[in-house]
Amino acid sequence: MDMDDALQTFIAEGRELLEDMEAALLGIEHDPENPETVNAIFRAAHTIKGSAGLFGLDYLVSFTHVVESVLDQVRAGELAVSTDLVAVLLTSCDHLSDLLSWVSTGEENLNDDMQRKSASIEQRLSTYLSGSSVAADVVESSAQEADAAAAEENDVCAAQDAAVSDQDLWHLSLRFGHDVLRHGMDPVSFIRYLATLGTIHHIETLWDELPAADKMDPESCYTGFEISFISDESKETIENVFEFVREESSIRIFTPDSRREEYIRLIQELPEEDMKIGEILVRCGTLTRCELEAALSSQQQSDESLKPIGEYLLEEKAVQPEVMSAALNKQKSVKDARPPEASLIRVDAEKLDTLINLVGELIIAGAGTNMIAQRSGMPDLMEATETLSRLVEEVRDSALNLRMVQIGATFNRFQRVVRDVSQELGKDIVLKISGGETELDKTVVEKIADPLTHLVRNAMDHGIEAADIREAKGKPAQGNLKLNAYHDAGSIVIEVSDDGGGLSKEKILSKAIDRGLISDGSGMADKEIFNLIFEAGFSTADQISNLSGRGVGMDVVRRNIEALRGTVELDSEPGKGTTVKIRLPLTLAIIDGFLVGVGNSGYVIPLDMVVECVEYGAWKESGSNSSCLNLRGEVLPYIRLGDYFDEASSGQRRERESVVVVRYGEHKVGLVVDRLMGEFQTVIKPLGRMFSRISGISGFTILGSGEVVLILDVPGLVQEAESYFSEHEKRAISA
Amino acid sequence: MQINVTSADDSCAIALEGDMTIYTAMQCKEEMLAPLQDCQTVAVDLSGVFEMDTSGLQILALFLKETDERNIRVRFSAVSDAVQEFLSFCGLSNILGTAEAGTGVH
Amino acid sequence: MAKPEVKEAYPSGDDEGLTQQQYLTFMLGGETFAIGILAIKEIIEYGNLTEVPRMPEFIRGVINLRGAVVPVIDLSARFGKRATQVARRTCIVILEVDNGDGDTQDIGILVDAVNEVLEIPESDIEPAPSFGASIKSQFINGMGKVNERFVIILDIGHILLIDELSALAAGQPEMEEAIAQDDEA
Repeated sequence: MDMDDALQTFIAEGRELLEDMEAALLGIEHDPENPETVNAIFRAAHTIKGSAGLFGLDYLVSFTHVVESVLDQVRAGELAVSTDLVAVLLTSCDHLSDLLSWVSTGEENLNDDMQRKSASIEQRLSTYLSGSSVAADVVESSAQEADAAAAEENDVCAAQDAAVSDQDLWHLSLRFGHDVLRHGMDPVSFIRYLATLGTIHHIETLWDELPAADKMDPESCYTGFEISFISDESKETIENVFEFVREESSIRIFTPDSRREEYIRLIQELPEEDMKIGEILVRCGTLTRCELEAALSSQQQSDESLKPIGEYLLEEKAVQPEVMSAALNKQKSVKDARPPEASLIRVDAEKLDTLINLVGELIIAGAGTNMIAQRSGMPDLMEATETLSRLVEEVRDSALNLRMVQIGATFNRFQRVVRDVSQELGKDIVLKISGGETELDKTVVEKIADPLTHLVRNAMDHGIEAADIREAKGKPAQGNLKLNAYHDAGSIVIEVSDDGGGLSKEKILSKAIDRGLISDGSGMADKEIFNLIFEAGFSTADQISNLSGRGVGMDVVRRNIEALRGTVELDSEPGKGTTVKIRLPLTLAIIDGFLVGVGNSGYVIPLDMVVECVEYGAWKESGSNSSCLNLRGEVLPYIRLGDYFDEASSGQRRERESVVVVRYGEHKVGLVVDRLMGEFQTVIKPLGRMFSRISGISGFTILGSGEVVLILDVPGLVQEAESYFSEHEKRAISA
Repeated sequence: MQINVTSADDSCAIALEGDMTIYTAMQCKEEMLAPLQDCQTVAVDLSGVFEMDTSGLQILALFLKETDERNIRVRFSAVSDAVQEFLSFCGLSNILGTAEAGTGVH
Repeated sequence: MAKPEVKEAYPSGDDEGLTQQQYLTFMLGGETFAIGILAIKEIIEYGNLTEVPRMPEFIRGVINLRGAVVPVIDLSARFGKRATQVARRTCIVILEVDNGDGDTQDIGILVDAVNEVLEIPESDIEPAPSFGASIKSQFINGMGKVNERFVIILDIGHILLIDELSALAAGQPEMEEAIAQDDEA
């Protein structure tokens, strides 16, 4: 795997982690006590940071670091989860996603915009880092300092020893590399993070390296810190705080049980004057004055007793592999902790499409072979092709199955939408998700997101009432929105339901009459009335709100769903709520088709839309001159396909015409055809751009003979016939 | 970052508004040191600084070092809570001079 | 925006090695035309064409090209002339054209007969005349001199501009005629 591939993988995995993180963040608001959720969020941030480090993506590392720091405080229970905090973290999540997008541009540095955004979010985050606990620590430490100062005045070593020894003090001596600021890292933020691992007992900031004004580069780091620190964490953990600056900086960490000699070495090694460092160590409480004096004098006496500096460095080196392996283990455990989908293989969607196309060709070729075998009349050949057909069918099913994905991920994205929109609206709404494990074709999943978003926003905006109205009605103040999915007879059903006020039949009717969609509402079933809102021309300007509207009406939702060969219907109960039911085919690639002949051409009708076939001659308009047939007392609008498609033989009456009754949603329409040619497996080929605006046709398919035939756009035809029909009815009535 | 300098005779006032971070460090350095050429006392208003990082802190340190070397009297007229908090976190509560420190302005 | 086809006819200066281009010549309504061969995928015999209803004349229909559905354009009709009569030597030339989305699409063009592939040096290509040619000048990439005669080098990118074709294809007959003709209440 070359670096570029690795980077692509990092970006893809990073996005997944962010999705997990977002989902967990949305979950944590409702379940702040669950440590696993917090851990999951933390792990996601940590893994991204770690991997970003491997690629040298400093801007990503430094930003994630701040996020991680905040999360670590949450994890440690030092920071309570609040709505505000979640909001900042969600914003961080979004920004991380933007940063990942930036990674794919290949630019080494962020542009000003992104940088500013990083900085501003980091600042918002850091307000949490510097929150109450740290402030308290500072107060505490200054109090201790005062104590220490008082004790110093007494100059009693023993007293001091007592004061200090009951606290295990770490000592950190930090000299940051000149370039850390340029690399986007802020030393103080590391110390703030350190502060989350324990309590800073005393801190001194050193600028001995700060050059004169003319030599001072504002973007270089000249700052060092001496810190005494109280913590129960392991040395690795504390060392890891400085993971990202360790290489270019000098980070010395002394455990509470460090020996005096080690401090002496520190004093020697640091660039500042020995005495000054010594004083600092005393102020830090790391050494008592007695110890310091003893140390300094012993140093003068017996230099040879000290280990050479090199040995110290060796020691430091010896620590590194350990730290490294710890870091690696951590990374590994993050991976292990993810759900068992770890055994998944990432496959380019295009490869899958190629496979599906090949399987489609295989089906066509198989059908051709079958035809020839049948014609040959050779039993052996027929048997062999039959086995082949069965296998091809299995291959088809498993190939299609490869494209099936769970709808859960799409559903979960709505947690965020619901959260954001309910804040925008000032309503308290929870989203409940069920059936997330229901699978459907990837293409369908991708295309359903938009209509779903519209429906969800619509339900929140218009469906669910404001809290006070709800309470007045005796409902719980919190509104409920549900997303549900399940399989039902070869299709998948997706439901969007709310427990809002429901739709008003009267309003819909008056509006529909207003818009000329219907003449009057008498005799219409409730469901028919509700579904009027999906009619083109129903949504009107005054309905468009910023949220759900965006100038798009429900008719567009319906059209989008119909483009997927799906249907949408709505049911509503006044005061109880509204449910929108979307029915979609499981796959867009292969359907069962019903082949009919019109003139010299064949057309395929999706079999699941065919209700029945009747002989046309049987009722031959029964003398009436209407645009409708009478199907057992039911009024049935019909289309002569031969006329509709201008087939060559149109105009002449055929001998044995048939009517194929198709149903789409609530509507039935008769299609008059010349011949019925039976059912067969249909591989759908899209129309392509050239035919994208054609009407009456939804796609192509290829028969076993290799012939291309057209697939009828039943929803389109039904709609055309219906609107034509109601047009006529109206004319008939007004006449 | 907006740095307003007003000077009269041998004294001047510097008011900072914005963030003292790595992004503004260059500007801060130039504009804060420039007025020091010809003045004896300087008043610094940090009430408009809502974010500070290590580089901002360094500029402040440089400023203090320079004024000290040139025997300029520095007075911090106002300090925002953010700066105050940052400084005390770094154990530097007192570098702005004890008298004025703590006159936090939101 | 330079289409690949344009580049073939006028190789840019930096492609020094490519001063000569190969072209496929073919007959259409008694005239000789040429197309740069880089755009050509294959040439197949005419046959098994499925008509698509309610399409303008120049869209002859679709064919099955090894499992892919490929639209076939009647070039003669596209030029505003008589539709091509299918005869023994009628061929479909499959071309790969830019579909405007940065992607390519296969389109077949119907020609009376395919002649040969030949090289026309750049120096023998003259710009399209602004008038006087038998087809619209924006469909012409240049006039190539072959054996002292001129052949029209077509600008396939222009002729088969997908968006334009699909817009032309969108003109549809009225619904009225199709539904229940005998309705006159």
